[in-house]
This record gives sequence, C-alpha cells and structure tokens, in this order.
Amino acid sequence: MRYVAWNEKTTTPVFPSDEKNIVPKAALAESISQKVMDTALRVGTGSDANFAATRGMKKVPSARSLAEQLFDSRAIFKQTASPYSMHLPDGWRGRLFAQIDSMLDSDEWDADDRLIARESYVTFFKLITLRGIHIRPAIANSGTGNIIATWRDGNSSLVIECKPHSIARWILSIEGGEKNAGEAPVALLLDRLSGYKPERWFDVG
Amino acid sequence: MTSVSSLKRHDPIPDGGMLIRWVPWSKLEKAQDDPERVVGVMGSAFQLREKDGVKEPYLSANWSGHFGGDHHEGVTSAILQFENCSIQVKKKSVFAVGRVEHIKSELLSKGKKIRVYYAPMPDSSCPDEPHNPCHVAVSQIDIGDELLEALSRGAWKYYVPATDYFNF
Repeated sequence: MRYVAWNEKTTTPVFPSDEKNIVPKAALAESISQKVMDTALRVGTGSDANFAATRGMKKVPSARSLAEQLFDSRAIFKQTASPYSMHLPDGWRGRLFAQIDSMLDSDEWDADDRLIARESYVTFFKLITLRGIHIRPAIANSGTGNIIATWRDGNSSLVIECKPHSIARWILSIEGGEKNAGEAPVALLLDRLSGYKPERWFDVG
Repeated sequence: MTSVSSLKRHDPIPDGGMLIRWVPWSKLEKAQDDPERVVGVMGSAFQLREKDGVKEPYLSANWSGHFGGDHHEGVTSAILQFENCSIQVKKKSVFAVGRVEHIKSELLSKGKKIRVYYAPMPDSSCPDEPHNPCHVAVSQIDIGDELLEALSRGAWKYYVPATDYFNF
C-alpha cells in the first residue's frame, strides 16, 4: 500500500520515496483533527465554539492577538457580503470593504470594545440591499458587537444599529427638532420610516 | 500643569467646567463618501461599557477646571493628562469636549438627571489605575441610545483630534 502524507509547510503531498517526510497515519489523523477543531474555534462565533464543544472536542483558549481577531472580523464582513454583492449598486462593494478596513484598523481599535458579530453584518447587508436605498451609509461601531449605519442629509440624520436576527434599531433626527426612535425587522424598516421622508437619506438627487 | 482645584473626592463639578472624553476611531461618524473624514461623534462613544460582564458604574472623563489657566489651557492640560491614563490614545481618535451645564441640561430636558463629581484616580475601586488628578465620574448616565445620540449631536458634539496634542 502506498501512503501519501502531507507536507506541513508546503501543503503539497509527499510520496513514500521521500521516507523521512512521511507522517505516520495516526499522527496525520490527529493533526487533521486538530486542524478542523482549530478552524472551528478560530471562526470565533458562539455557534462555532458550540459545534466543537458538542462533539467532545477540547476547547483551546484563544491566544489570538487583537490584530488577528480584527483581520478575521474584516474577512467575515467580506464573506458575508458575497451573497449580497449582486444586489449592491456599482462600486459599493469595494467602497464598503474600504470602510470596514478603515473602521477595523488594528492600530486604532479600542481593545475594550467587543468585535462586531457576524449576525450584525448579515443584518447590515439586508438593510443596504433593500429596494429604495440608493445612497451608501457611513459605518461605525456600537461597542456592543453591532455595526451602525448612518445617513446624513444636512442636519437631518438617520442612525441604524444592525442587530442580530435582521432587527434594525433606528434613531432619526430631522432638522427643526423632530426626533424618533424604534426597532423593527429590516424588511419593515422603510415602511416604518415612511412618515419621515426617508428618501432624503436614501435617494440620489 | 499645576492643580488649582480645591475640590475633594465626590464633590460636584461646577457647571462651567468642561468635560473631555476620549473617543476611539470606530466610534466616530465619518463622511459617507470618505471613510477617513470625521464629521461627528457617535452616541456609542458615551455608552457605559461592560467588562467581564459588569457594567462600568459611571462614565469617565477629564475635567479642564482642575488645572489653572484660561479655557484653552485647562482643556489642553486635561487632554494631556490622558497620556498617563490606562487608555492608549490612538492617532485617529479624538477628544469630545462638552460643558457640564450643557450635558446636564440636555439630559434633564429629556427627564434624565445625572451627577458629575470629582473622582481623582486611583481610588479604592480602581487601585491599579494610573494617577489622574482631573478624572471625573458622570454617574446615572446609564441611558438609552436615543439619549446618547442626542448627547453626541448636542452638548458633547465638539471634538478635537488627538494629533493636535500628541505625537504619534
């Protein structure tokens, strides 16, 4: 029987002719198992950690640096964008990526803030791909694990916190003093804002 | 920087004092067409944070009146004091500056009464905190995001970039 092992450094197969590079089968299996578990934990969300826990895997304490965690968060944002990309206006995808790269800059991040949850990113993309939203928002961090989208038209502003499970929490302020706040599923948001002429924030021209 | 304040711990801060709060980059409002251009401070900058599941008992800020001099000198001294804090001031961050009476009245108009008192560091609750003689606590400010947003667009809307005060 021919065994094919795996070269750890080059990730290319190693054949038996190079005997010294062969990893014993048991060690190989253990190595792969560890990699799967590491990947599950590395993703970093609660559900992924639970995945490892429910399968009897040993939970390895995260020793990742803040820079690595922010890198992962930027990557999660970009992965999350993928299925929504076709619904985004031209040029938005790259600009949104530039915005998230800037906001999650490891040189600027406050270490006491919670990283933004994947579920919040999902809500964000559902929000900005709503039919009727034609202006890209600015983004900020809630500090509690959610991304915030903001639109401003002169002194009128709309701030939407993207909560998990497709829930949008809005706070609006209209020039002249009118204010309103509320929470609704993203799909109902435009309906809930209809009394405040949301086109001032969402429409071009 | 010479202290001229005669306040004792837990004394209320005079209404004319200026409170300075450090705001990290991710809690700044940027222009929609330019993610590097700051146009304001988000309400989340004034939110009490949780650490190890426990919420901060108060909002921290530095007080300009602790030091002598005019308005500008007081604000400058209070900002420079952040260099000795546990906060690591970053290049693109800013300092939000708000007058005590404006902050109080902004919230009072919405039915929320806060208390601003002198709380130099370290104290018994934070014995490991670095020395900060102009630290103040804003208590009873566990308010909803609507009020925080009002604060950030009202009484605490002014800000100065960290690069004006520190070399990075």
